[in-house]
Amino acid sequence: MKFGLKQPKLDMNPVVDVAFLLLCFFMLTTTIKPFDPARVERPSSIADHKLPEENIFTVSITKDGVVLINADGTDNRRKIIGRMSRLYNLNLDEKQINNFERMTSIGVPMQGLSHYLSNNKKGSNSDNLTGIPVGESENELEDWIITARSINPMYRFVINGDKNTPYPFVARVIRTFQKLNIHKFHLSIEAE
Amino acid sequence: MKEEEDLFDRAEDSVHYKKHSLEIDMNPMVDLAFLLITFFMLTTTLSKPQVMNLAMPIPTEKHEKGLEQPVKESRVLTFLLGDNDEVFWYHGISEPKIKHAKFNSEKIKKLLDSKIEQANEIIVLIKPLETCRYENVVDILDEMKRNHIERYVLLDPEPHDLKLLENAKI
Repeated sequence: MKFGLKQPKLDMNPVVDVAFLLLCFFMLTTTIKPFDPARVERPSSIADHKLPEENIFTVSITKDGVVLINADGTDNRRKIIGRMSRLYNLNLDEKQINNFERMTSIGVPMQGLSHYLSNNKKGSNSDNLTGIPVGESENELEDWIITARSINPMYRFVINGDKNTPYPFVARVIRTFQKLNIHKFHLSIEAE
Repeated sequence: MKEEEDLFDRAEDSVHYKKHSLEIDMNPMVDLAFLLITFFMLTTTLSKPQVMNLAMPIPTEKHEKGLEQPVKESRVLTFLLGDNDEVFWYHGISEPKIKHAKFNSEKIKKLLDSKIEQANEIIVLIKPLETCRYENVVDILDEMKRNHIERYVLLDPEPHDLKLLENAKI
């Protein structure tokens, strides 16, 4: 009599166990993306190459032609900024170097870098950045790349352009690459 | 005897009651857990960056001395990319007839197919103009891949290209 009245009940405990196990796995495997001031809407493409995990030097170009750079590896970043600061006589202090190490893309000329690194506001994005000069006469991107390569020769170069960027801005970056004998590089895209 | 039975029944009842109070409804917990799983699954797969590989021509000693083997004109097809997704193209070099159209994947496929029929192993020169958007460059590189064109190169437009365009517009 009692059995007949009882509603059939599923034991949910094993389900909970599995669910939380998976949850833990996914939480540990996701790397939380730090805030990146490079706001880029990538063009879609049928290309299906995966970007290598390490040794990536990214040059982002926003739709307004602002150029930002990003190198991976905190150790490399520390060495790069150290050498760049010596090259341009910036005399950055420890706090500013730590800031650089923690940040992602950098899009300010060397002249304003010291100021930018000392008051690092989280909310700033590429809208109010001037970008790294890549002109014919003044090309700081060249120095960044030379420095980065001297520290880590394994760096692969990626152009992360916005789909609405006028091509001349991209061409200037490519010309800089070619000048430095970088003839093979990657274009960051959105898979179709 | 009857009293005893009653007592026994009551005891069983009370045990049963206690058991019942320990049961927690796990369903909302499962819901929540799976919701979080879906979130993390989606964010992990979406953040995988994908890239297109691009190789630029390496200037060689041969090139500088002008010792390179010339190619047949009939094998060369030039694309010029303009503003508003406009594409211009011409065959050969010495007697170019320039044509233009809006960027259209199928049209380009037809064009490349007819060209391949005429001459195998065609060479495509891609020259984005100043007014062109980056997206169009990526699109035309996609077409090269889609149509299995092995030899293509990204170049800057030369003065004679610009002249051609001006003449075509008049």
